[in-house]
Amino acid sequence: MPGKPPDPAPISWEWPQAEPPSASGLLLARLRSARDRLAPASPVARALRRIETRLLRPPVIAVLGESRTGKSSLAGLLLRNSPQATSLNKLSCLYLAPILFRYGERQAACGVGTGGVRFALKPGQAPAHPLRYIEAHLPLDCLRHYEILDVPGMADPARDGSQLLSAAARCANLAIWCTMATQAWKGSEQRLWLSMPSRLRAVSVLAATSKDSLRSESDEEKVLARLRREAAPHFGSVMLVSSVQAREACKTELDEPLLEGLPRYLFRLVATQKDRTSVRAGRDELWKASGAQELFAGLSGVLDVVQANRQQSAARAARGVARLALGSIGAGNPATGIANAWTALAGELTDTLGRAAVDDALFARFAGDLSDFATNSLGPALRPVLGEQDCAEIGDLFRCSADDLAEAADGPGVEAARQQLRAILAQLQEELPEALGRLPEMSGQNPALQPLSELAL
Amino acid sequence: MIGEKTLGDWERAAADDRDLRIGAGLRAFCDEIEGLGKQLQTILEGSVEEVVSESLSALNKQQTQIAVIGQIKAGKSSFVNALTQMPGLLPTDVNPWTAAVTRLHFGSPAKPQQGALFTFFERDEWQHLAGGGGRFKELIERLVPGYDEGAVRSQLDEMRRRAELRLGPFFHHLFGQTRWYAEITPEIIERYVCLGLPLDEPLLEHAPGRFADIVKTADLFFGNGPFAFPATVIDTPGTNDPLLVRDEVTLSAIEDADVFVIVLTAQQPLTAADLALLRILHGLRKERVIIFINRLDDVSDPAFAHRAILTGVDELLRREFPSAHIPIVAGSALWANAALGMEHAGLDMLWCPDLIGYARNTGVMRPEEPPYISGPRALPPERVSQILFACSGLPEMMAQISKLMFRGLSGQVLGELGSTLIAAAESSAASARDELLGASTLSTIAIMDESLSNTRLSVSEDVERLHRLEAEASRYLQGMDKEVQRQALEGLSPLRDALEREISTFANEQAANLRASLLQGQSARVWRCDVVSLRNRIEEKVLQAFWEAGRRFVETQRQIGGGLRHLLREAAPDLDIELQPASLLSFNLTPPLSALSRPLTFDLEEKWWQVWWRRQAADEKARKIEEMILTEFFPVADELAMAAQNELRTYISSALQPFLIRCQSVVNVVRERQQRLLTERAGDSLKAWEMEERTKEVFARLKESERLGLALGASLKRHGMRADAR
Ligand SMILES: Nc1nc2c(ncn2[C@@H]2O[C@H](COP(=O)(O)OP(=O)(O)OP(=O)(O)O)[C@@H](O)[C@H]2O)c(=O)[nH]1
Ligand SMILES: Nc1nc2c(ncn2[C@@H]2O[C@H](COP(=O)(O)OP(=O)(O)OP(=O)(O)O)[C@@H](O)[C@H]2O)c(=O)[nH]1
Ligand SMILES: [Mg+2]
Ligand SMILES: [Mg+2]
Repeated sequence: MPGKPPDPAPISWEWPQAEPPSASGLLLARLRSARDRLAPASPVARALRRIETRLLRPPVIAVLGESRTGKSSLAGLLLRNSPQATSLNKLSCLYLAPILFRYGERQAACGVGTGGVRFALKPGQAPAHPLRYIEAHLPLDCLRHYEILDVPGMADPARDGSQLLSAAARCANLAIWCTMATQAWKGSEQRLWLSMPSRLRAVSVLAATSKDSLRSESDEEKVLARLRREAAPHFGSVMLVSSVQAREACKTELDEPLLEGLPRYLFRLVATQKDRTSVRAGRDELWKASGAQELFAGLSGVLDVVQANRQQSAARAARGVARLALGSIGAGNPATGIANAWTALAGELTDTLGRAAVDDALFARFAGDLSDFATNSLGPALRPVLGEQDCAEIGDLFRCSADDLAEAADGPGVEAARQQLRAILAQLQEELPEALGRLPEMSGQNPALQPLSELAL
Repeated sequence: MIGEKTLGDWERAAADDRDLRIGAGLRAFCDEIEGLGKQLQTILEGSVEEVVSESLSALNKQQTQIAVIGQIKAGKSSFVNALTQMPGLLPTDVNPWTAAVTRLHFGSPAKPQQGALFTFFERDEWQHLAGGGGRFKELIERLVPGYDEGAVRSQLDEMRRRAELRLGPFFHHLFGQTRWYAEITPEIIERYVCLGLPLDEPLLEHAPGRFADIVKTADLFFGNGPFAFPATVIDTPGTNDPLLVRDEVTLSAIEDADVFVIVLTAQQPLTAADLALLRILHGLRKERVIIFINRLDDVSDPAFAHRAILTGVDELLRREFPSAHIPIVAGSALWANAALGMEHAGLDMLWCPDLIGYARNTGVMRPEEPPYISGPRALPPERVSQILFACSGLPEMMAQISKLMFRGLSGQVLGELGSTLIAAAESSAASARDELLGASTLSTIAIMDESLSNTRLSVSEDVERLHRLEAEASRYLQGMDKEVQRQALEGLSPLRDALEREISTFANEQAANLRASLLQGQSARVWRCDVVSLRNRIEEKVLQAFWEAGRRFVETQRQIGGGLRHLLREAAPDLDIELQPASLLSFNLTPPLSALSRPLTFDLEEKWWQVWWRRQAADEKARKIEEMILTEFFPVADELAMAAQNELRTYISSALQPFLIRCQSVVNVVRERQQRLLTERAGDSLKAWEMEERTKEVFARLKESERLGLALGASLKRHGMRADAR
């Protein structure tokens, strides 16, 4: 019978003695130093990447207003009365966090925390991270044209909801401010609205909801007239809507043609008709009466304007990033590390841009890297030259306004943005040596830094 | 506080044959007191009789002021129309409409019983308003962070410009004038108190809103209307209007009202703006607020929704104002006005499944009643009105207002007048008793009343001594009211200093905290000044001092009573009348705390603060904060101390009266005794039969006084007033 195989020779876990630097050792060292030089450079690139991704996304419409002014109902209408949207919206009430509806092939929802971290929301459990907003994906076509941000009401009047509103306003391209038609445009609403960014106010819509609660056309006229007089200067447009009527009008199946079961907003309309049993006719009337048609028409016009604005601000932001990189580097101590890092990064970026089959994700990663670079590398270098306050401001600007930058970053399309970046790089390559050369006699008032304030919007 | 009764219960109560007018309870109480007082009057003489007739005439001067407040378009004017059962009287609209404070006087004593009086601003009053000075400016700066003051000024300029345009050449002649109309019509009211159309042109003679910008007050006079007790209902411009003048007008009008109806809406029950209003009231008169949640007709499925709305509001109120039990009523002014007849034309628009469901669910409509208003099985029109009115919440509102009127100022005053009458009755009884005892007719009395016979007669003084005693006692009581006042108020005088110390300590602490957190490298922007705790500390201090002063007030009265008793015991040991002091406790008196709810910089929103912090130099921040706390809170302390003193002074001057009457009555007894001795010494003592007559008479007076005293006491007690009687 076959015997047990002999024990193998014991393995030696000892690594052979270190040899004098070999070819691969040299390569490793060079790679490591290249990585060291590249690492700090990444944040600016990352910022640019965010600009890019934002650019690909449809504009965000924030539905804002005081508590119980019909925000969610209106958001529901903009989401084509999708029942999934309605049920997802419950999450927003549950967590008292805004909810952002985006396009997605599959229905899904997750929490988004600070720094963009995403995590699953488990019902009955506290969120794993501080929750900034909820992101919901729905396969609705309309979401390819706009995204919807709904803000939960503060059921508790003792709590200040203005924080939530202004946070939402910051990431919106367009807002619809909801006010109750029957108690429209109160002083507190005006104050809240006037504290929103002016770029938003100029394009936004004032929607007086619950139009159906006004009991005659002349009342509607009166309310509209007042809103046009008192509120219109702060808005792009003003309109009256009834979300419930619009929803009713959209229903495809016919209800029992009985007056008995009709809700009030339908009842009133049908009750005024001669042929009270004709619910179908009532539906057409309803759609007309609900103001939804006007709302959608108005919105599509506004969205065009928003798109044009986004392009402009993307161009501005890209220029800003370039100037920022330049200015920051110039203001630092003549730290050769920075110069090297920049050279490496710029080379890499040029390379990437030069490649024919450029991958968006790669490009975007560099944009993000650029922004990190500014924070980790430029910040410390600038501090001795610029003083604590300005440095902190620049740092803040990069860290906190990464989103802002990204948001401003729409542009003239992907290809054009690439062009833009190429131009930025070329300019940087040209101006950097000069800037570095000037460095020793530079004071805190570096003219290259002035555009910073422009960026801080 | 949500009532236990269902609407059905309210409706059945209405069907009972009770007096359902508003303030019926207070009227009944007043009538009782008045009746007993008049009887008392017939058996009294001298100074006590004067006091009683004064009290009786004061009884009829009482009236309750009910202010209706709330945000713009909550339905205040509609509610007033429903409450006063004059649908269509006050003009209503879908846009902000009421621009001037409108007082509706019902059965007001010494006022006309029909007509309307409109008073225009004085020129400088108006200019003051338009100049944006004083409190108005302060309010705006504090309430509206980052708001362009120029914008506010231009609001006011605009108002002035419009008034000039609308009125043309009359404009300058109208200042300080009044207009009187013997007949009231909605058109006239609309011309004076409503905003009118925003036309920039001279308005026609009768255009709505023609005079609105310059009307200071509008007074409308009516008979009793639905009120059993004189009442003034005050309709106010809505708060939270983008036009800030309205808030100011409303705030200034409500300061002396004593019952408040806050009108909310069912769609947005209790918003932050409503809460702010409630907080201000909480400081003024927290006890007398009723919440009416209007527009219940405007929510879908009210049968289901109304409970949730009510409990939601109730929970919030309990949390915010744990000690105040604020009644909450849900309803609809629209339904009420329809029931009252004006809007019957649109009945088929109102009579919807939601309403029917609500009426059934709340027990207003019986299950067997058909839900039709036309056709063969239609409900009779009166029944439809009944149902609408019951659902409107108005019956419950009327009952709640009646209840609060009792607890309001007029209820308190009635209680005090009742106490005064009791004291007068006691005084009368005391002197009658004394005369009976002092007279040498003990035997007669013994026959008439067993109880008096075992008291031994011990009147052995000579006239001189009684005279001296009386003089001494009178001197003792003279100016006592002033003295009591002085002593009680003295207790409050260190209050201001104490508050200022408290504030300084707080400011110091806060500055130290801020410094510490700045040292730890935290940003000043995240630091918030915890003024809530300071407000609480101040409130506690004021209340403490106030109660302490109240305690002293009682103490001083005890001393007076004791002193008097001591004096008397020497002369007439038999005259041992206990002198019960009046007490603050009997009326739940609280010092006014409205100054505390005034918004300060510290209440401003985050945004304002961020700007502020940025403007301050780093090392200045803590010092600036300290300074700011001092400058903001010192005036508050000052105002609180003043208000507490005033309140106490007013209270004491009315509450002291019954006590002093009792004291005086003791002195009167002595005087009368002295008088009798004098007569006897003069030798013309009464003949036996005269004596007997007199004794009978005095005895009757004694019995009557005792009976009236007891009846008054019982009446006070029955109406939940604390009688200061024994
Ligand atoms: N009659 C009528 N009711 C409406 C309309 N829009 C909303 N509502 C009602 O108003 C209430 C509040 O509506 P929501 O859409 O939840 O309002 P919201 O602003 O999202 O409320 P919060 O998130 O709590 O602040 C609901 O009961 C709706 O049914 C409308 O157009 N007509
Ligand atoms: N559906 C409904 N409408 C109401 C109700 N009460 C009032 N309204 C309507 O609401 C609007 C405003 O009512 P007003 O009584 O003028 O409100 P207000 O609070 O006095 O308004 P201002 O004085 O301008 O602040 C009017 O069109 C009324 O017809 C109600 O219970 N239900
Ligand atoms: Mg909502
Ligand atoms: Mg009004």
